Amino acid sequence: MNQSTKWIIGVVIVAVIAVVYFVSKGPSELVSTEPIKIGVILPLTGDAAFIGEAAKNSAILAKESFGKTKNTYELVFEDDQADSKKTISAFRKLVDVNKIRAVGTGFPGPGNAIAPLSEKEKIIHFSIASDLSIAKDKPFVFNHWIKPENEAGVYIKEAKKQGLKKIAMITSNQQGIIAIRDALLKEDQTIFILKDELLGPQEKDFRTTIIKAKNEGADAFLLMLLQGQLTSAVKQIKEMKVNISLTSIESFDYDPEAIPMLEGEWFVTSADPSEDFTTSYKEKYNGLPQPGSAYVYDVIRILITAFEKEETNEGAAKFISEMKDFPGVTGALSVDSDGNINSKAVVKKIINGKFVEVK
Amino acid sequence: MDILPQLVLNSIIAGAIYALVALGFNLIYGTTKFFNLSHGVIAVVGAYAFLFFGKMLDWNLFLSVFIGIAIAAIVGYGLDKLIYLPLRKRKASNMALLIASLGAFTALQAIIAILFTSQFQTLWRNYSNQKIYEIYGGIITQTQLIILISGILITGALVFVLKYTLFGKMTRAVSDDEEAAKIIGINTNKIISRIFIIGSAIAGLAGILVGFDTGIEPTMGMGLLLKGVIVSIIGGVGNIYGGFLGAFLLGFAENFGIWKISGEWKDAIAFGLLIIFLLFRPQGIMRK
Repeated sequence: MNQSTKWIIGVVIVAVIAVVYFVSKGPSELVSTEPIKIGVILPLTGDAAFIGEAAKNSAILAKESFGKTKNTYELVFEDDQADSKKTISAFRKLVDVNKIRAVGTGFPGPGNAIAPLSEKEKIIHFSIASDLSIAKDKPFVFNHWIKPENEAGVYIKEAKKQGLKKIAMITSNQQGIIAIRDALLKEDQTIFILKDELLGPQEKDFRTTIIKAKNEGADAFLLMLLQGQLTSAVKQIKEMKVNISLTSIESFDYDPEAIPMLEGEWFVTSADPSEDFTTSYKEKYNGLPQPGSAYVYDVIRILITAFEKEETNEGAAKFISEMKDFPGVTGALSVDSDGNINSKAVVKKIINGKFVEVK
Repeated sequence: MDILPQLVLNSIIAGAIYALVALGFNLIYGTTKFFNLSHGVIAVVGAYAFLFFGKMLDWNLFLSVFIGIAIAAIVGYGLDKLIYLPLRKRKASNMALLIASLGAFTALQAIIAILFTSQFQTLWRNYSNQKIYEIYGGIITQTQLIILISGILITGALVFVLKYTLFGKMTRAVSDDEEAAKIIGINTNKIISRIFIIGSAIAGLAGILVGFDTGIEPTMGMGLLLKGVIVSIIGGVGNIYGGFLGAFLLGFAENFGIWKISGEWKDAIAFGLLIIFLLFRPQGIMRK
């Protein structure tokens, strides 16, 4: 071996060592500097904008609640007006342009619309919706809400405590609402009347339904209606002098215009989040969180925790699916076999325009 | 409470709302011979103009109603001048005018949503302020009574104007044969513009009154328009009397139809009635 061959071999060995060093070093450097992007699709305009804006605030608050993290995180917000078609467009943009690794959605329609897509793309999808079938048999999809069975149980217990025997159902034909109605009828059919009284989501004239309920001797209404519908229905009930109890599951949360007409009435909804969360929210945004805000906070914290522990989406999805007693602001959170995190349902009463939990 | 009186009243209230929407729609169709789909959004313009002046700025109720109607009339006139008149001058087909009116509907609806948000809003300040009347055990509110009286009065006024005034005679001439009307010296474009102003003003009033009854949202125009179109077709498209009768027929069919079945069938009943008329009496209750 002559001198120049030795030199060539020496240079090649140094080059190989350098390449091996930088190749092994390179990707981890890239991972730590490139933020992990989490898409958040919310109704930031439209009917449910007040919920979407508060949810956005909560997501930001959740991200900021972590101190120094191994990875950096970026939340990318998109507006879907709770319209499934727009959710799909927003999802495609988030996947193709922003290269997100996880996505959050609100409401059953948007959740159902992109669950199969996120499952196919292996992007972790957290839905916040009352339809618990969204996550079923989809390892990358999860859902955080109150189980309709929990709400139904709490509602029927309270109704019986109040001595109600003929509760007239006025129900909007919407996926999440139907899930609650079915759970109620499964729990106890005997105390409900007008069980098949479904109304289109755009319907605002409830007069004939109201008079049918009155004619059948209803002692209460169970109003499970969308925003705007509830205001119209309550106004028409009052105008028609049908003076019976007005109750609901969740709907009172979403229709601020109806609240002045609902003083003293009760409904079933999610339990209040922790005092710490409400205080931090108030301090940062000078307002109160809205329904679902605390769920969003918990979901973002769960996702960041999962990505801190696991490098791949498969690993993070597995971590979430096996999660037990995660310390959330909505309680100790565990994921069930269908990918759902179930929260507690409580009875709240409207007192001086505020929702007060009935202990 | 006996259900029948209230069912009858509910039907009359629904019929009166449909009549108000159909009146303007029929008036414009009768003269221009095209389905002006933007009519639905003109009602929304009236309602939101009232919301702005009457509720947000807290101006006088009657002044705000007047402004709401006036703005609806101006927007309707503007659409005719800026979109439909140039198309008519180019001898555009009725299909082109229909598509243009759908475009105007969509654009105006989007503008209203941007300006006022898509959120449901109420026009009333305090729901308990309004008077309630009891008729044979049925209940009707002050707003609903105003809707009913407005429908009757406006129909009566339109019939009078069309039958006994020079403007009415010229309108009927344009309606019967626009080319012949031009030959005898009628400024047909001017007549059509005026018809747009009157029809749109009625739509604006309808929007405000519906808003007082059930609340408003930018998308409410499509529901109103569809019912207005159904009523016009079953009443006899372009026929004001027919539209009035058709409105009450639809109101009764819908409300009595859902007496024993779910309220979700209401729209199916409305469109079922439309199909029956298209199949067996396409000219409607009253021929034009």
